[in-house]
Amino acid sequence: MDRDLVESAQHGDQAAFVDLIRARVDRLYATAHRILRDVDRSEDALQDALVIAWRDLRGLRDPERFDAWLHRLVVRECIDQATRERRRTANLRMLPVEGPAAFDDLMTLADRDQLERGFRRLSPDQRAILVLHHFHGYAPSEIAETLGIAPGTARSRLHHAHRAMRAALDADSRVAFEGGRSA
Amino acid sequence: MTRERDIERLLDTWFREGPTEAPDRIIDAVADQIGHRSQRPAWRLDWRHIHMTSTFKLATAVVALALVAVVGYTLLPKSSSADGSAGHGSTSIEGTWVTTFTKADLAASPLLADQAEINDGNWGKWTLTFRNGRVSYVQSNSVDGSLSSGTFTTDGDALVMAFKTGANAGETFGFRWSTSGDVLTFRRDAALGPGPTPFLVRSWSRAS
Repeated sequence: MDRDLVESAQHGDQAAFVDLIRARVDRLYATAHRILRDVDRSEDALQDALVIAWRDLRGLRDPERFDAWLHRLVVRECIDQATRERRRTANLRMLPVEGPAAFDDLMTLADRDQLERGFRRLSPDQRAILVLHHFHGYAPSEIAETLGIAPGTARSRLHHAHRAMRAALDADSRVAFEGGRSA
Repeated sequence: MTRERDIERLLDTWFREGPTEAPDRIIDAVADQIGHRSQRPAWRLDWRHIHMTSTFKLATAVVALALVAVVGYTLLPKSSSADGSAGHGSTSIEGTWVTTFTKADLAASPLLADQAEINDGNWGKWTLTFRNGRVSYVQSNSVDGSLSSGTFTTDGDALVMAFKTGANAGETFGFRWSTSGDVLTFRRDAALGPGPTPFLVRSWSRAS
């Protein structure tokens, strides 16, 4: 029973903590990688979050909430990591929503490079929300719990994240289109 | 609406791609780091986010003073019992114990069972925890570190530890044990199973 492991880890049992995270690290890494889109930064963020989890574990009042608490720490660390990275490379400009209707063409939709570029244009919060919703299948109420925000805010942010993704993809298509025309 | 649904479908598919297994080095790195990092106490709250009224401040101060008094009283020296133990809890193996010894100490131990025991996974700082039927240890020194966990049972002074994960996964060790005050000592008893020397080089001090 993981409750026993959590309680042992809360009492300083390092091996119990390692057993706990060993059973969860794949899922957490998958989350981190989808938010950060980079192997090294995903590993760094996950490692930092797990060490923070060890440090703060005694503050977790209900051991049954360990999974949600840990997931929240990892997502928060990824958002922080992405925010720092964004400040370092502040060279991406969000283009207006209006633009060519690139989504009518399913082949264009399938272009992974375009998705990658579009996703990177989003704010770290928006990336995290899209990963929680589309990768983990979280409803807005679960996203709210993970991010520590109100359910209404989560719904609104999810809507804006979809909109921003569409805008980013449209902008990317327009750049490609204009680039192609001028060539 | 079609475009909105397209984006959602596309994201569903796209996120299914990508790695689903974490590299082992993440666990290794975390295990190494937590070996050198203590946990924050549960009562350490972020006071910046707590609004305190004057009454609450006064009540907090009274509670803190009472706590200091109780802790101080508890820590006052008490008369020892006949067997030299220090009272409540000290005769139980439950808790966390620590010991430290060098590779030279290990090599020089008269209890060394096998020369092969003189290796970097068998010396350094050790933390051994017995709690709720679970046993675990963490060992670290300047060149190596290891950990293992499993279950334990006691019957009088007989202790049997069955390790399930980590360095000693699948191994069962047995010892006779005794405590005196906050010191834990192991003794080999072949009838209980093998007893590795690192448990015997030094006695163990209670950490919690």
